Amino acid sequence: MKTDVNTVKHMARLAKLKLTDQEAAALAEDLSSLFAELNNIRLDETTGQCETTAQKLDIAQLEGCALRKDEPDKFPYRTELLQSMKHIRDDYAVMPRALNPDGGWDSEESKHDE
Amino acid sequence: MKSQNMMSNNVGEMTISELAEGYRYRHFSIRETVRHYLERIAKLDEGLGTFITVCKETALREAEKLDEGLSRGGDIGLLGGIPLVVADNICTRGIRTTCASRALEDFVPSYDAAAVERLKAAGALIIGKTGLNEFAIGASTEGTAHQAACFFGNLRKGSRANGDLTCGSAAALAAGFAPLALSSGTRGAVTLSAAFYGLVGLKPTCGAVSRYGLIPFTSTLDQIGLMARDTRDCALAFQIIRNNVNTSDTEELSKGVEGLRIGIPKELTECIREQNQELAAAIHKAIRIYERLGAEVGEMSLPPADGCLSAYEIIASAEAGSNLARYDGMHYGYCSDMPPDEAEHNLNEMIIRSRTESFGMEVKRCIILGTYVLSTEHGAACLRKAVQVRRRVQNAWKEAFRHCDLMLLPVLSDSNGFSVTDGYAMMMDMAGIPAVTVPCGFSSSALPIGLQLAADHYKEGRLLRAAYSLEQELALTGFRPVWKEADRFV
Repeated sequence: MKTDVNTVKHMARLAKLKLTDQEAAALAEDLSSLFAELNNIRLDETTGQCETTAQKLDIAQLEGCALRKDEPDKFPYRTELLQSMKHIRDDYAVMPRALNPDGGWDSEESKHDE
Repeated sequence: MKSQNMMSNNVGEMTISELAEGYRYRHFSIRETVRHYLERIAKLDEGLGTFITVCKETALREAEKLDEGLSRGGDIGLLGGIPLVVADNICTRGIRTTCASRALEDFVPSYDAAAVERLKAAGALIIGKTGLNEFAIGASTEGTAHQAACFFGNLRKGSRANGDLTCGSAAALAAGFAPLALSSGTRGAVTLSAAFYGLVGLKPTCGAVSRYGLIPFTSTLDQIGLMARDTRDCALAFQIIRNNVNTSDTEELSKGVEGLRIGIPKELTECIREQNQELAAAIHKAIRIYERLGAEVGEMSLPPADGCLSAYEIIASAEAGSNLARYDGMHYGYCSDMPPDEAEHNLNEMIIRSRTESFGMEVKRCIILGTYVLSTEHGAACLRKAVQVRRRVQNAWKEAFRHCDLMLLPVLSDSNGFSVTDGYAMMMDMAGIPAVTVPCGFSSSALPIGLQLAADHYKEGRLLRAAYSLEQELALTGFRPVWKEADRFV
C-alpha cells in the first residue's frame, strides 16, 4: 500500500507534530517502502502463529532459578521529594492548578487554593 | 601508591579484576584511579563526544569515601571503586538523564534504575552518562539532539555505522574511559556495538534484569545489557544486576564447554565465506577451538531474517508512539517558549510546538509510523503481521535450541559496518533470548572481529562459560582495543 503525503500529514496532526512538506514527502516514501516489504512476507508463513504476547517463556526454564519476591518496595525518596516541593498539605504535595473551571489558565494568586 | 607512572600509562586498559587487585594491594588508590579516568576523558573526549554528562565531583567524592572505607579494612563491595559509565536513557539519581533528546535536556531523576542501584550498592562509581540515539531510536547517531553523539564513528576509522544506540557506552570503553558500561538495546545494539569496538557485550534474557528506571522506547523489546573488557568482568557485573540471585556466573566460568552442543547456522556461514574471508577464518578458528575443548559442533538451519527489520520497525514504532506521547511540554519534557497570552488560548498549539521543537527527525518518523499503525485499519493489519513474524522468530529459535545448547554466529559480516548478520542480532532481541559477543580476532586493517553466542532463555551462565573458554584459548585480552591518541580517531 502506498502512503501519500496527506496521510502522513494527518498522522502528524494526530501525533501533535508539525512537518514541512519536504519532510512529509520523504516520510511518505519511507513508510511506503516499509509497508511494501512487510506485505511481501507470505501470509502462509505466519498464519496460525500465536500473536498475543511478546515473550512466551516456558515455566520449566525457570526451574532452579529462585527469583526475587515480587513485592512493592517503599519509595525511598518520599521525604526528599516532599522537601523539594513548594506547597505541602497533610504530608502530600499540593500541585498548582493549571486550568480554571472555564478552561483558561489559572491566575498565579488562585493556583494553590485547592 | 608506588606505581603512579605505571598506572597513568595503562589505567585505560585495565579490567575490573586488575583494578580490584590494585586497590586491594594498595598499588594505587581509588581516588587516583578515578582522577586518571577523568583526566583521560577531559583530554580525549572533546574529539569523540561519547559523554553527555561527566560526573567529576560526585565520582571523586565517592572515591574518597571508598578509600577511607578500604583503609579502615572495611568491605567496599564486589565492584568497590570500579568506574562505571551508564547510557543516558537509564535513570541515575541526581544525575541528568537526557536520552540524548531536547525533550529531557534538564531531567534529573530522583531515583536510580534498579540495575544502577545494584551496581552502586556493590561499590561501582558512576563516572559519566554516555550518548546514544535520541530515545534509543534509530540505527545511527545522526540527527540526535546532542550533536556530540555524531562523533562516535570517529573512534573506528573508516566506519560507516557505529553500532546502534549503545555506541556512546561502547566507544567510552574502547577509548579507555571506564572498564564497565551499563547500556540498553532493542535490536542487537549491545552485541553489535561491543563487537564493533572489540569488547565483550552481554544482552541478557528479556526479563532477567529489571528494566525499572530504563526510559521506555519499545516496551516489549527494551533490555538492559552490559559491556566490559573481558568475559569475567561481564559475568561479575551480570551476577550483580540479574534478578535471579541464587547462581554465581563467575564461579561457573571455568567449567568449560565439554559436552556442550554448539550449532552453526549454515545459511550464514555460506554467506560469510563468500563475502569476507578474514571473518570466515576467525570463525573457523573459534569452531576448531570449541571442538578441541570437547564441544560438539554441528551445522544448523535458521530461518532467513527477511521481514524481521520491517516487523521490528512496526512493533517498535507502535510502542514508541505510545511511550513518547507523554512528552507534551505539560506533563513531561521540554516546553516551547510561547508567549503566555498565546499559550493561554491555544494549549494544543503549545503542545505541538513543544513536541516539534524537542524531537529529532528520526523520533518524529517513529512516532508518525506508530500513530499510523495504531490508528488505521491497514496499520493494525501490519501490526498483527509483525507480531506474527516475531512469534515465528521466537518459535524458530526455540526449535533450534531443542537440537543444540548454543548457537555460534558472526556479529558483523562486514568489518566496516552492518550487513546480513545484523538481522540475526535483531532476531535474538525479538526472540528475547540472551546473547554474548566476544572478540575472536582482528582484520588485516587491525579492526576487531567478534562472534556472538546465543542460548535459550535464562541460559546466560552457559553463554558466559563458552565465551570465557574461547577468550582464554585465544588470549586476545593482551591486545585491548584502546585508542591512545586523539588524532588517531579522525
